[in-house]
Amino acid sequence: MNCEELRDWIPLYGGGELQPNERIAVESHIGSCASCAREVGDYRELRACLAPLRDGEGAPDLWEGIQQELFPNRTHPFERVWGLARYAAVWVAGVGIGFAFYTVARQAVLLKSSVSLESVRASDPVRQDPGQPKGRVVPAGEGPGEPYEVRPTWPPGFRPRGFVEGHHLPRVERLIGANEEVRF
Amino acid sequence: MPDPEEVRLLARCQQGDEKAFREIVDRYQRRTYWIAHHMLGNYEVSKDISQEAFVRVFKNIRHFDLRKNFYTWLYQIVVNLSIDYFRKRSHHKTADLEEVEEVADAKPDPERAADRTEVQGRVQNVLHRLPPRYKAVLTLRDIQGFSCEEISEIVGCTNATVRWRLHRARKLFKAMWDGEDVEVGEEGEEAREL
Repeated sequence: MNCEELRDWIPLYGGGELQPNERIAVESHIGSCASCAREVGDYRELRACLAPLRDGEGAPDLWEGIQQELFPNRTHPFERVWGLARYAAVWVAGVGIGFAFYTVARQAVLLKSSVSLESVRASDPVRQDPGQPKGRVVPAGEGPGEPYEVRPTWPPGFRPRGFVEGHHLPRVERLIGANEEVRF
Repeated sequence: MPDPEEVRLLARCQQGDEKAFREIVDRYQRRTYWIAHHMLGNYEVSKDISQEAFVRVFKNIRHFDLRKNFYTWLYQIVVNLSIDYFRKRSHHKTADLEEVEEVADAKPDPERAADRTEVQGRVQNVLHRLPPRYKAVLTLRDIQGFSCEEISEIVGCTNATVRWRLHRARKLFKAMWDGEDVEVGEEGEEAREL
């Protein structure tokens, strides 16, 4: 075989990648060809330059980066406690704020309902009239100008004469004086 | 045949055992890092690639067949990540020597730089000018010492293809080493002497 035919095998000869028959062919050729023998030597030297690159230390903090990405819960104990404390503080603050809002709102509702009840009772001419039957003051759904009606609390089975069930409207004479005129 | 001790460790890793995975990392992290480093020539990037490779391994360890060699799978991930990184970074088909030297010397480890000889520095510079696929087989064969069969498993091609790429890689490396102006494509298919 000549140099041209062996050209593609020479780079592989030094690394031992040739088939047995290929290796024998190259060995027999370089025994008589100085140029190809020199080329084989060049490739051997280059491989010898590459081999030392294998040695060396690895990256020292490689595991820390891997651990941080794969096992993020493996934090320092102090960080874990601090994290829990922050979580608890936020939770307590939220509950406290919610409770404060609830308390203020409840008081406002109670205050509003007591004021409205008192104002009704205070302006009730019927209730102020000792001659009228006592009863419960309830808001009326209808009735001209009467925001309320009085439901008398009679004993069971008792009904006074002249009483209209369910309503007890004040007499006109009680609302206007005897000498006053009603104008529409 | 896989090492029985390693198979036990990998089985524990498949259960999510952190300590077992730590042992696996300790076994392979040095070689993993240097494969990436020889592919990319940058300390920080190589560390990131190595870390990413181990993370991917752990996330997919459950699908790994324990009857196969673990290291071929690991190094396959490293090589593919390195090639992907190189392609993303490379905007030109012709490898610019200045750009490659910038990559090779960018933020080198100061401790290692002091120990590197002039010859090794020149070797590194030439190595980083090679197209990524040629660089991969040359790194795995002539630096890391893997067999052609192992390399074919790692890079995912036939034995014949590994031999052909090795042949092209060494010829190209020698041409660049001898100072010849060689213009190569990303895959090296259009290599020619100027």
